Amino acid sequence: MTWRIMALIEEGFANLRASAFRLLLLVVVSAAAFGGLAFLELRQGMELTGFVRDYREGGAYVAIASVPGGGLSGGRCESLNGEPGIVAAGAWRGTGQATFPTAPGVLFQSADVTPGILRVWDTRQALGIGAGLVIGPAMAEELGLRTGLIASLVPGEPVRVSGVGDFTRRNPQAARWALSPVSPEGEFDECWVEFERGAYEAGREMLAARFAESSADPAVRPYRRSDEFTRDPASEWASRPQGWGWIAVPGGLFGFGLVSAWFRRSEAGLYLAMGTRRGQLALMGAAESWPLVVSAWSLGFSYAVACQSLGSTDPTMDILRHAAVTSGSAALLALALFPWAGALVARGSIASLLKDR
Amino acid sequence: MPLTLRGVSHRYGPAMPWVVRGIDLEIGDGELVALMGPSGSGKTTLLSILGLLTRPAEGAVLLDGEPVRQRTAAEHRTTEFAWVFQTANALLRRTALENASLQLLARGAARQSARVVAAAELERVGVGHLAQRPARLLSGGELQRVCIARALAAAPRWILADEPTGQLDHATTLEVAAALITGRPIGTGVIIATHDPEVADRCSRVIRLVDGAVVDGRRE
Repeated sequence: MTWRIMALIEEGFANLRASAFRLLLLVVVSAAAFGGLAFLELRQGMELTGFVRDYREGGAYVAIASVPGGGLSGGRCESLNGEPGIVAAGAWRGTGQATFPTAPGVLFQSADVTPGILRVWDTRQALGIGAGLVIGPAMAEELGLRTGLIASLVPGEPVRVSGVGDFTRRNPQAARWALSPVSPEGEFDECWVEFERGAYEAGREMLAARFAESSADPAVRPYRRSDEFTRDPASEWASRPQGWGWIAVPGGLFGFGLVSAWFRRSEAGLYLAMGTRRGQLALMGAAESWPLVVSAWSLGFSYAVACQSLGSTDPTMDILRHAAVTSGSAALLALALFPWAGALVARGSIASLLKDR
Repeated sequence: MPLTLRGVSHRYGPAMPWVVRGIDLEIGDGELVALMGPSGSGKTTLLSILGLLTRPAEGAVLLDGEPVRQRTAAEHRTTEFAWVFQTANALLRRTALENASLQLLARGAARQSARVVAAAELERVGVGHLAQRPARLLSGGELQRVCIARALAAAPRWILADEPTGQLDHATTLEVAAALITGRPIGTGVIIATHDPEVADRCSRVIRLVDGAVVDGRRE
């Protein structure tokens, strides 16, 4: 003869309902802990995501192949497009300097480019590839040019401006260049290749080997050099302190639960005096913990997402998933630990528990 | 005999003095027993040993001739005993009815039937009109009656009462004692630790303790 399982569960719910203040306090404290953990994950995740995007747009995975004195195959460079691990590839060659009648005496660099290089240089990837002149934003501003207008290049024929590229992140010099898209046949000065992140290191070696077949002493250099001060987002994320929050947060909450159970030890003594087993006390505790932890996690997580969205940008699904997994793991561990707080406090003599009021 | 102590001694630590010493005692079914003695004579400790809340440092507790083992003590606490404590231990944020149902629930009763029986017991001890009131809002006497109703509802073999009237005025003491002693189910024994001779007078047997030893435990 002992408690029915349903009666124990109902007893746990009834104890939870009976103390609104304790319930509110535990929900608020737990929600703050779960929400704080989720917010830290969201904030660092978004900061690193922003950094990675910025780092990539800054040319972190761009390599430049060149041959001293020029003479790199444009066709071989353009043929890299579409290969696995390569985002875009293209070549350019300088064709001297030019002036415009509207700005006499001001010299601009002119260059031939293969179509692929515009995708490497223009991070917006919004430049239409077609016949006509592509110019940098500084040049467009100085000469009052925009897409669709006719530019009179000297020397050369008047030509339509087919696009104004934003080259500020990948090749700021080209902001004052007049670029003429040409066929990749022939030799070029440099071949620019943007790799996918995971393919960058191996891709640079591949690039040197690819051009060694047709050019003497090709050199491959990174567009953006890294050193010991360069941030490594992957290792920063892996070593983030709140990554251990799924253990630390429930550990702290369990301590709070122990304090709460300590103030109820005469109740535990009463249940034990009536023949309730400590395992049954734990089951009763589990029934109390479920609604508390689930509501605290839901509140805390929603609040963290709302704060992150209001404070900066909406978190990406990937970061949301990370925050949910970390804080959700903390909630699950708390669910596993909480029920034992009462049973742990109720160790020792039942008679002395009954006196502790 | 149903409840037997054999050579029971107890102290609360190796360096502590003996609180009860060498007690041999037999208590039958349905007996009304008063444990009397001055403060510190070991009444509460003896009661908690009898009710299997405390395991004696020496000696054995036997139920129906079988020694009680630690493994089965919780089961015996559920089926054989019910308690009324001096400080009216109750779940103070729960209602009187919920408190009175507890012992029955611990014995495996369904919640609905436990409430029906508990409500009847609350009526019988005179606090039926307070059934839905939270225990924390009850007076000392009312709360003690709720605890008695909790014990009576389970119809245990023995009700153990540790100075249940110790904090009550004289009139309430007599009412509570009457509820406990005369209101008990047929066949249920009561072992009551008390200082009050009027309460002891209502019992069929008085066991006197001095310095942890039984000096007089005869049946009348």
